[in-house]
This record gives sequence, C-alpha cells and structure tokens, in this order.
Amino acid sequence: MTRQYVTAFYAMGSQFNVWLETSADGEAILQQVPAWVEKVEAQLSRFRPESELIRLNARSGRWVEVSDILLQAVTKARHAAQLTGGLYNPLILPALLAAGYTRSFVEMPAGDMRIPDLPPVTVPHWQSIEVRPRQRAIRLPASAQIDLGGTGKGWTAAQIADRLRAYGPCLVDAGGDLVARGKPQDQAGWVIDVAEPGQAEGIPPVASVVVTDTAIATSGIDYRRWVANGKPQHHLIDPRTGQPAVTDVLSATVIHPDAALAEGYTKALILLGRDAGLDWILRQPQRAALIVCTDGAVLATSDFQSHMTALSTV
Amino acid sequence: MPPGKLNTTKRFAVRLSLVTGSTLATIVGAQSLASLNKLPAATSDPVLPAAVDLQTQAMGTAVPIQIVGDDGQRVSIPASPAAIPVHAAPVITILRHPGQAGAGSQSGQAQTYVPSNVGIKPPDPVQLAAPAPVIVQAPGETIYVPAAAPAPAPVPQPSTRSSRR
Repeated sequence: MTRQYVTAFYAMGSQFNVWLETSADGEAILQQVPAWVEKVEAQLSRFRPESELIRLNARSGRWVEVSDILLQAVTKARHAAQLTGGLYNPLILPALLAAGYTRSFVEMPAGDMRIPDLPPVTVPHWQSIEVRPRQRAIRLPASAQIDLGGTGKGWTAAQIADRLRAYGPCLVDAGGDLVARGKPQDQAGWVIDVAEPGQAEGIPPVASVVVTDTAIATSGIDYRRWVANGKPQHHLIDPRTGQPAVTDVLSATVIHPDAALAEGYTKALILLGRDAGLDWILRQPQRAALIVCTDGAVLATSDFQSHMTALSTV
Repeated sequence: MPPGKLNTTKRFAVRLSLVTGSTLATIVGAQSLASLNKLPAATSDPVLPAAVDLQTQAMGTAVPIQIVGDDGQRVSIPASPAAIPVHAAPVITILRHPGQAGAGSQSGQAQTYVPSNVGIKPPDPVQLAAPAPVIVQAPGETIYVPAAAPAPAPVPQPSTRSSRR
C-alpha cells in the first residue's frame, strides 16, 4: 500500500524536509537521507575545515583532482554563472568574508560586529574557474576562493530527489529550495507555498503553486543579514561591486527544471532589481518567477502564474 | 513504442519548427526529417518523413510545405509569414501593490505591470512552457519519520523561502 512519509533534519545550516510516497519501507528509506546529505556537506561546506572545498580553495592557482561530488557541484555552479551572465558567481567567498560572513549563520553574533575595514573585494570572472571533467580536476584562479552556498542546496536537493525517485514520488526541501519528482497519488502536483519574506511561521504565504518534476527556489535579503561596523550587510554579494547587493527586491522565487539554475536565477533577479530583473527573466527560456519588493509589492510572470492558476481551480 | 517511430509530440515539434523557421531553418528541418526518414520498411503507421515535400529556395524566401498526418492526409502549410503563429508577449502581474498587506492574489486577475523604459522581447513560441496541470486535493495521512536528534518538526506544508534554520 502506498503511503506518504516525511522526515526533517538540520543540515547545511538549514532545515531539510523530505516527503516520499512509496509502497516500500518509507521509514527505512528516509532514515538514510540525512547521511546522504552529510556526505555532500562534508565535501562542499566552507565551514568544515576538512572539507574538499576548503582543500580546493587552499590550492587556488593549481590543478586539483577532486571527487565526483565536488566536480559536479562546481560544474553546475559554473553553468549557473554562465546562464546568468556572471550575476551569480561562486568566486565570492573573499567578498563574503570581508562583509563579515565568516562562520555558519547560526553562529553569527547578534548586534553590531566589528570586522576589519577592508577595501572592496574584486570578484574574479566566473570563466576563470577551469574544469577538466575527464581528469576530474579543477583549477581556481590564483588567490581566488569559491563558495557554493548560492547553488549548493538546490544541487543537493536534486541529488537526493533523484535517488528517492526510484521509490516513488518525492519532494525534497533543502532550506527553502525544493525539488519535486513525480506527484502525490491522485493529485496533479505538489502544492508549495511561497513564504512571506522575513516573517515568522504562521503568516499566510504570498502565493501557492503546484509543481511536478521541477524545482522551485527562493533567495532573499530578508533573513541572512547582519550589522558590521555599524553598516547593514547581507549575504547576496554583487560580483560587480564585491559588496552586498543594493536592490529593491526583497526576495525572488523561480521555478526551473534545474534546481541549481533556479537558485542562480533568483540571485540574478535580486542583483538586477525589480525592472531590470523582470526584463532579464522574460528573456530566458525558463521564465517562471515571482518577486517580493522592498516596498511590499509582489509581481509574478505569467509562467509563474500558470502554476498558481492551476491551484485556484481546486 | 518501437524504435525509430515518431510519436505525436515529435511530429508536432517537427511541424512547428518548419512553419516558424526561416528558409535556413527549413533546410535544417529538412535535414532533420531526412535523418528521421530511416524507418523500417514494414511499418503500418503513416509517418512524416517519407511524405514531407520541401522545395528549398534562396534565403529569405518562404517555402511551401506539405505534411502527411497520422491518417495519411496531406496538409499544405501556407508559406506566408502571416501563417506563422504569433504568441503574445508574457506579462508581469501585480499580485500585491506596495503598502498592501496580506497574501498576493491567487485569482489571476491581472493588472499588468509595465517596467519603465524597458523593452520586453516576445519569446520564441517554441520556448513557451506548458501550463501546469490542475491539482486536486491535499494528500492524506502522512507518516512522520523521525531523524536523529536534534531533529526539528517537519513543516506541515511545503514552502519555499530564503533559507533559514
């Protein structure tokens, strides 16, 4: 008999929620998922001193042989950079550190942090990340460092969802970036709320959508923000300035078949701002997006609305 | 489906690419169809490739096309640019105005948002995504699988948000 199972756990600085519909032993299957995610996080986290990412960053300027996990994750990040014209750029780690994001966000102190007063960081061009897939090797530009926080959760969610799909329809929520495979029994898709940014739980969503076999990701400047040297900071670095983005977009949500690309697109929308961001997304092959602006306005493309319209017919 | 046969979707995609493309695209389409021509001799389904009749002409000249449908009927596709389907440019809908409280509109009553001084290019028709299917109802009982402590409670309803703990 097919049943729906759900589990939740902390990983990658966020809460993961995983739903699986299966006639197999759903409990046993879902109990393995935290270990799957841990294996990825151990390789990709910049907060784990022993991670492969840390070792890669320590060897910038040299070719480094890497695992399949890191190779695929970096390749995907590079692809997202390409499709966003570099608006998403994984080479932002020095800029993140300069802004004060030096530790896992849950460990960031409340109140005003004192950090060294450094000049703006120049972010290298994304094309300077070199990848040799056959040799499973990566070379970062000299003195550059990579951070995969901008696409890593979506990419991880896709890996997990693809594994779970063998057992049945599933939905993997990696800290707000979700990947759907198949659809729940007798339903047209997974119903997903777009949360009101910056709000506690229990606040009505901005919108709700129906998705199947696709990903939906949200980025925003509403949560990961802090004050350093009396100046507000947040984690979405603009590669063009090396500083936290100045924008009129509070959060952006994108529906895209590829989770990492969905994440990358959300960064581009925020960095570009309302008007330029909407113009940009409408020029893309995948153009389902919703933005919440800093003045409270909510705008959605027609492709995004088609996912909402389906819900309203219930 | 036996290998080498075309399904309805592929046939439609082939027809659309021929109608909406330029002469060069038509040539490319012809080449694609030629490769699809390699079908088993003993086939009971009438398929496109053997019956497509293209006249290649100079660049910039529209090409008349004949397509054979599944029922063997020949259909002439007019070469006039007027026959090329035009899809309306996608719109931006304002779901909530600045200063308004509460959730955005789910009803789809569109107020079109027009960005200032921005030209929006209509998408290529083949790039438009199909609308999502109609949903029915929420799932039934869900079995909670506890993860190793410390484990949070799963969210009651899937939601997308900027990542937080």
